[in-house]
Amino acid sequence: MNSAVVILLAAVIYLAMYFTYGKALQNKVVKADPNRPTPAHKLYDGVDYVPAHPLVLYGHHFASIAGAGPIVGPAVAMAWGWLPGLLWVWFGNVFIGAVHDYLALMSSVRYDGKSVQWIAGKLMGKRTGVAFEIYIWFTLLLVVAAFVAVTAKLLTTTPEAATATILFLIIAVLLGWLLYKVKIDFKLGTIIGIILLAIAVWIGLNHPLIFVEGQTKVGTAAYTTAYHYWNIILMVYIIVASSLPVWILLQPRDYLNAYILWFGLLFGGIAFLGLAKGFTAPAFTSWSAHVVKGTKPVASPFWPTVPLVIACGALSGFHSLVGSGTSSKQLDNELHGLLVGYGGMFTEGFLSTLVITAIAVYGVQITGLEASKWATEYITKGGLGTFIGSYAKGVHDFYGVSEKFGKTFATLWVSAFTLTSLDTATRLGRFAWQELFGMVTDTSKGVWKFITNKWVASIIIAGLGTYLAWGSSYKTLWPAFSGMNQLLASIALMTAALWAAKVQRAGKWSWAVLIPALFLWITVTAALIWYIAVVPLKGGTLIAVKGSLLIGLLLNLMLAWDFYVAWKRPEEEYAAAAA
Amino acid sequence: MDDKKKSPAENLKAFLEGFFGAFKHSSTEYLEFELRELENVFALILMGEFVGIPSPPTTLVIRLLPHMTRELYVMQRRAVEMDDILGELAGLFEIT
Repeated sequence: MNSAVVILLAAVIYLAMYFTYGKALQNKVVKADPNRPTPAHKLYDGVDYVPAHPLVLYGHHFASIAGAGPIVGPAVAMAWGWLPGLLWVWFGNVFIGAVHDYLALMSSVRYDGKSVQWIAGKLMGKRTGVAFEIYIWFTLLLVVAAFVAVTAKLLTTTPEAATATILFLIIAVLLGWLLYKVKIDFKLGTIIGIILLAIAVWIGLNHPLIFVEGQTKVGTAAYTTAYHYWNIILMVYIIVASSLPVWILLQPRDYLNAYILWFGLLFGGIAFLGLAKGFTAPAFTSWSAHVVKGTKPVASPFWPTVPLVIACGALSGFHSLVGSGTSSKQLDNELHGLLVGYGGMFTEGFLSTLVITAIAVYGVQITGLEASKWATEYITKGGLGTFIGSYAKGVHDFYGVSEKFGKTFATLWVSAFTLTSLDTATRLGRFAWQELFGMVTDTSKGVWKFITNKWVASIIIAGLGTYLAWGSSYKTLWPAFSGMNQLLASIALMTAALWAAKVQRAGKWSWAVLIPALFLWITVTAALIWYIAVVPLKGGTLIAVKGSLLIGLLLNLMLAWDFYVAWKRPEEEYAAAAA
Repeated sequence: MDDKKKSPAENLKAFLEGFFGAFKHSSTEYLEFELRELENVFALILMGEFVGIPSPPTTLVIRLLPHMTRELYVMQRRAVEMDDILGELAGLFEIT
């Protein structure tokens, strides 16, 4: 097998399934009608509801859903070999993930742009919507923990990227000032921003930010010290960045991220397509390779643990929030939904395919592992760093750029997204925290005022998340975050299944949604029980991580009951919901 | 949009405009959200009476009313959608 074949095969599979299975979903389940006015037209107000060009919406949707997720997960999953992860990214995406994204978007369109949380409350019961609010804060805590761990590791092991990342933040602030305050010409400002970004990478290459000599070697005392320094820096960054007005940092950084994303995808995609290099990593190592880590590596059965590792490249609950939060309000025509929801998810799957391909080609060289040792030793020697190194080697071999440049750019690519996610997760977590404590407003205004204070709410989530990252590897935290993410997908997909069967009355095509929904629920439930029972943790990490997962599991069981009750209700009762 | 009637060159132009339009959109979406929120707050201060927030209708409000038809509509719709704020924010703030 070689890289060109896999990339082309991915393109063929995704295109073929888009035009066959996707179109079937569009016609048989969604019953998309180009003449039915979307909320963007029906509720047009020039403010929230405004029709957008389908490619603008697709590009925005893809940029919103693509982040560090489709990169980290597949990189860790390579412990099973390249084939299992690739099959999940391809077919898990086609039959579960993309279906989830598309139906979350289109059901929201039919409910006048309401979020999937709202629709779940309407179709399944009010407490499903309330459960979501409780659940979301714990999920965001794990997001902060996992992403702090990932970012700190990256910036410790690639100090060139650490310099470039800090400069990137300064450039984003400068760009924000130029675009939104000075109001410089938009194209000129963009060119300045991109040029400065390139300069930042060049400066980083020549002036790496090193805290402790020898910090790039994982497992050493120097690495641990530098990693902890980065934990503290990131915690302060989260608290400050999430409190700044959006024009100062979040908006301009998000803008530059879009260029980094597409450049990284095309730069690497063309390289590995053109190289057509053979795979050296094993196709399959073991059903229970060591993929998840606690206080020690744990033998992780591919089923049910794969969704704990590969989330965003195949299926991600957060995508349903993006689709039903903003995209549904801007859809111009119902027929555009397939490109935005289904197509957007396929593009993300393509990104994950690139990650797996890169490691499959160069992973053996990077890790120094023989194929026979991958199942048990990839967890310690491989992972995200293997993707960074493989990407660097690929672009070096194809374009002739230095490997150090490739490594710095790839690290900047991932860290740019993790920093954005940390910022937004803290903002959203702060809001969810304030919502949750609304109940004490009447009984104790003083307590409410203190606990929902902007700084207190930010410090709580940032502090707890950093505490978890302090003593844990991202290979411990990532599966926990992914598990909660998949639970969210469970809520969304079950809501979509109810909508397809009871409101849309899609007949036998309802099974195309119901089967993935049930499979997902069973898989995620089994995976969470496995994680809670099997993965060894200790101290505060044990309480916080397994406590959050237990809460998620209980909500998941409640969700199953609510779904069962809702499923038993006759279709006529849903006619009122459809109105 | 009726792509069948457009020439390939026009389709390509539309594709490029759409594709790069996505980048431009990512440079303003949070700002647009903040602007919408500020306008909503302004409308609530002025015309909150219409959505149940006690505020005396001043002569200023009555004079501005013909010019704020859209804002009144948006404010009323947003008041109805107050039960879905978390969902809207979660969609805006891309987590991953």
